[in-house]
Amino acid sequence: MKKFLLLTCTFTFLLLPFTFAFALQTTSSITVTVTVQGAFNLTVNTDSFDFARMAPGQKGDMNMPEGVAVASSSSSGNPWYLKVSTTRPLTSGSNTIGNENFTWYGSSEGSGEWRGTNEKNMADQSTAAYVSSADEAGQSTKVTNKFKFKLHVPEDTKPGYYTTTVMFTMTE
Amino acid sequence: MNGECPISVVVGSYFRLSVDRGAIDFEKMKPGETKDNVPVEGIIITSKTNVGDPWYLKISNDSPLSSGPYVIPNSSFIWYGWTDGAGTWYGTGTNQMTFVPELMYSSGANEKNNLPNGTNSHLKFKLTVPKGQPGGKYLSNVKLTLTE
Repeated sequence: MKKFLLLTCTFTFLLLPFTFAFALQTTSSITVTVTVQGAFNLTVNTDSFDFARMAPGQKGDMNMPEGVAVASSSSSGNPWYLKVSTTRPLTSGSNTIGNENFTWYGSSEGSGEWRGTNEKNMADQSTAAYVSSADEAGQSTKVTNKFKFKLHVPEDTKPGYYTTTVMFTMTE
Repeated sequence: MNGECPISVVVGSYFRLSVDRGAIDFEKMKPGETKDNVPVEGIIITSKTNVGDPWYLKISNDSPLSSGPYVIPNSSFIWYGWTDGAGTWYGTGTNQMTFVPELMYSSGANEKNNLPNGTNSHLKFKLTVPKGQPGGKYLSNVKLTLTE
């Protein structure tokens, strides 16, 4: 009998700490979502430039030796591209100077791929001027590319005030 | 002549937490934007127990709002709300979400056995998307814990 009591007591003492160790706990989860929109930003430091007065047969640089600074940033998380184009050839009334005579080149401060180290003419719209790096794809890092322009006025160009609009396009 | 028939019953313990929805969506937000009062009607959290002990409601998340390698830090993710119970509500209105469960509510003296209706608490969130945050769909699991 004594042995039984002793066993019972031992059992009780062993059991008690376990009884108190199991505090009740239960959980529920809520899934929280948000869709963050990518922000695209493109700024150009000037709204015009010119080649001043040029003679037929002459090739000349734009009047801004420092070039046109185009700053781009994106937080979309996707790679982006920068293209340069014209809305139409340089035009004066019914006369035009073809885009093959209008060239661009420059330099980049970004870590992506700059494709304008050598002159490219505006007639070639097949390639982007700049392709962002992976780092620049989603961190809103501002990338500045500097564009310079040259114009060759063909010998047979008629006199006039020729204008066009250069367009910088940033796209994913 | 009388007869006795002993009757016994074992009443099981009941300790349960229920939430009136499993997901909330802040929908589309721009970097730099803040959205408050989500969801507008609040999330209803019902705690029921007959155990007879004080109980606590806690809140946490396992990871910040994440989209691939990008995260919105918990410092931008605020919880707040109110309770219908008689216990203590610990939300200050500006509590940041934490990975370690944070006390949201502790039961009042008369809530140790609150069957059948339980105690309702109401939860809302406020989120600020940091400026320059990369785009994407961000997700986090908010965990509510009912414990003794």
